[in-house]
Amino acid sequence: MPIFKTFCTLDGYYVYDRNTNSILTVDKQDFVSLQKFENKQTDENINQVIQRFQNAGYLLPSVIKTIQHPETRDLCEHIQRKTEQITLQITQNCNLRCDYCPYSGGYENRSHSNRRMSFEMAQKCIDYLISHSCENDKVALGFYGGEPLLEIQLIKDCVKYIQNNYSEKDINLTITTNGTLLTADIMDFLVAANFNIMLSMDGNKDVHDRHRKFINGQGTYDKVMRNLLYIKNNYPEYYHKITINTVISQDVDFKCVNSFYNTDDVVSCYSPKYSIVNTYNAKNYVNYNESFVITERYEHLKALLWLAGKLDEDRVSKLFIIEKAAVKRTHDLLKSAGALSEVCHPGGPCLPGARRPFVDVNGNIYPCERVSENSGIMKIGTIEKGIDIDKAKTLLNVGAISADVCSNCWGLIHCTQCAAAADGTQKLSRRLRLSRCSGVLADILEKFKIYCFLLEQGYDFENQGGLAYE
Amino acid sequence: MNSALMIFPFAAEHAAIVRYANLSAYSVRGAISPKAWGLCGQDAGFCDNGNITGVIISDDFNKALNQCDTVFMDFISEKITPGVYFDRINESLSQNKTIIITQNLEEYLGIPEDKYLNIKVIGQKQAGYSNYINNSLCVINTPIIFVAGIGENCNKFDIQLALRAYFQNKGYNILQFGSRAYSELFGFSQLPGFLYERLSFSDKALMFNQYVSKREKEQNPDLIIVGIPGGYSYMTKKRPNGFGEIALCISAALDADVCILSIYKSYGRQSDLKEIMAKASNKLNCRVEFIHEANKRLLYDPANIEEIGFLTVHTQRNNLDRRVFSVFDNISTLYVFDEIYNLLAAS
Ligand code: SF4
Repeated sequence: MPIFKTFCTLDGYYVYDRNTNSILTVDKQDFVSLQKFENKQTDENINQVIQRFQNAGYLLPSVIKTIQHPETRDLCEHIQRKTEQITLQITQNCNLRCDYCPYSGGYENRSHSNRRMSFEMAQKCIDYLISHSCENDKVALGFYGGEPLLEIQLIKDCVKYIQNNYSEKDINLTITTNGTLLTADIMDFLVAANFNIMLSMDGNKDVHDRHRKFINGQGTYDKVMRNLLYIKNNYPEYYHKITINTVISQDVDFKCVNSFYNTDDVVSCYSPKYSIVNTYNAKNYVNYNESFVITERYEHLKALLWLAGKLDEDRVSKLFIIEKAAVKRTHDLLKSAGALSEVCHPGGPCLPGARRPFVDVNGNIYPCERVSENSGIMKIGTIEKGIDIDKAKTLLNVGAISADVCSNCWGLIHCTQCAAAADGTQKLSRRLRLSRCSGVLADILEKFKIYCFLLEQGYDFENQGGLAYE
Repeated sequence: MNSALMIFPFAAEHAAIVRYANLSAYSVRGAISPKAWGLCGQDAGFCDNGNITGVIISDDFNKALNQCDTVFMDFISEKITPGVYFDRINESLSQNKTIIITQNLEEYLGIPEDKYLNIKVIGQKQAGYSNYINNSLCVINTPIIFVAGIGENCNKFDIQLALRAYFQNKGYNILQFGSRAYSELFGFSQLPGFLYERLSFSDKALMFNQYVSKREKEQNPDLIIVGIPGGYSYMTKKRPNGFGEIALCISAALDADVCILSIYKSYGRQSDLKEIMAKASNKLNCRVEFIHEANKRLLYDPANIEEIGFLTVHTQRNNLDRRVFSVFDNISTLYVFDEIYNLLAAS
């Protein structure tokens, strides 16, 4: 049976053909017939319509025979030779207690503690990164916490160790910080070592202080803004390189966040990466109200109109400028994935252990920093013994637990679910994975509609040309 | 007795020097690599996933220097500064070691003339052969084998060395042109420099044809092996492969009797292979009958299609298809080389 998905925009009718990973323009009549077929309704023209598409090489029966990730065979080589990045949890301590933090009690995860990574362990992690990346010219080393700047001496020792031993490799240093400890001394050091800083800032004082608080309950906005202003005045070039992460929680007014980034002198040069509160492993249901959704969609629409050349960039929320990169990714994925083969796997999983392994204070390795450290299946190895390749392969092949459903799913290539979305802590959970499918498919459909809308407007995906505002 | 050689800095591409040292006047005693490249402690064979070589990669330059007669230095990346190279050169000179460097390294270092006396530069692209005698192609009577590839990094040099070993064993007198600067370590020269110059296509093709003809007359070989550098056609926007210009020039200049095409490892279908062979035959103006499956896979990032990377993988052949071989697998290699030998003998 052919596997496809029909959809339309205001100006056109389309069908996405999974086998060829192509979006086809169709006329209204064909669209109606194909839609009926999808909905298992009868249509007298359907055989003829499908035959016509099949003659042209589309809507052919599914070719999938086995759900297996194509990198399974070479995962060991990826891990051994091409590890791209390691993130070190240098401390489990933090000077803040943000409500939505995975370590503040609202999630099935570890909680804050005084445990820290020893320098010996950090050295081993750096050695591990080097010995597992001989085929990468560039690698990244991330410092993560808790709040990593609580362990500034350890970070300094690590940087010195790298400079003394590994100067012939490009090692991109990153640090994820809450921004409260960026003193002049620390900034001198981070700038000299060319760190990429990822700093958390949620919005104006009211919004930011609602969740991002010191242990004593006091908000951190004033402190972070003072530090940012200091950086702006003293390291004007470096200041622009900082990446701002914004978490939009359920209870904030999206409009305030928007206007903050568009108008505040200290932060208006940034296009923050924004995310909503993490739903994976959350103990309570995370729900966003209607007003949030309306504002979010409105701002999104403005960003699309900007890309379509119908709105000036000044009118677009800073939080949505990244939409340009998102549409390019959709384009590239449609262009590159090519036709499906008999053995394939839904999109979503990264290469566990090779892409961005996360090492906790004790040297346990996880696929990334976002997974639960309490999960047995996510602990895929240790720095001393290396990665348990069978465990990593199980996570890579998370699609195997829902192979019957995924084989028949039109969204397979564009699916975004990795193993973290099916983390049943002791084993991968089919129920959890499938419970997220409707949301994932809705997102894919939205991406396709945006893609076609922009095509209709003449958007140049190859050159990422936002059309000139007229 | 072979001279003891050390390689600095040792990178994955130098594994071929270690593996085929028996074809040269050297035996490799040291493979010195910066710790940062992640190879120290590994056998040189780790680099190509081939058999163990017995040469362990290390960062101890001085220890290796004590154990060698000749130091071979190459340019790999600017991460090793000229200062570090000069220190190593001076240490080697102070111990009266013979120093061989590639032309790329010479260019990078800009070595002062007075130091040349004790340093041998290899892989110089002879730019001199600029006058060709006439506008017609010379007939070359010696059988020719092309070793071409779909791109960079697909073991072409290993294949050239394996072919050399095989046909030398059969007693052949071989005229060979290599795709690497250090071909000279193995007794053959790199392709002439004019192929890389800004000359017209026809000038280059005629010059190369007449250059090979001249060398043929001088050496009177039984076999000519030509390693074609780079890929034979355009790959991606970021890696246009020089649009395969050198491959096209060489294939216009010479008629190959046998062409081996090296392709990246993929887990694709047989029909894809046929398509590749047909396309390459067309481009290279000869029948591509033998395929080498490289130990490298091309990695595409689906979310950024211009970004291409390589991954070294294992290539053990099960020899279901006897036109396909891996140079890291003796059985399939021998089978294909025997086929080539028979083909050449029959013609
Ligand atoms: S959306 Fe669900 S069914 Fe579809 S490929 Fe992803 S996990 Fe499988």
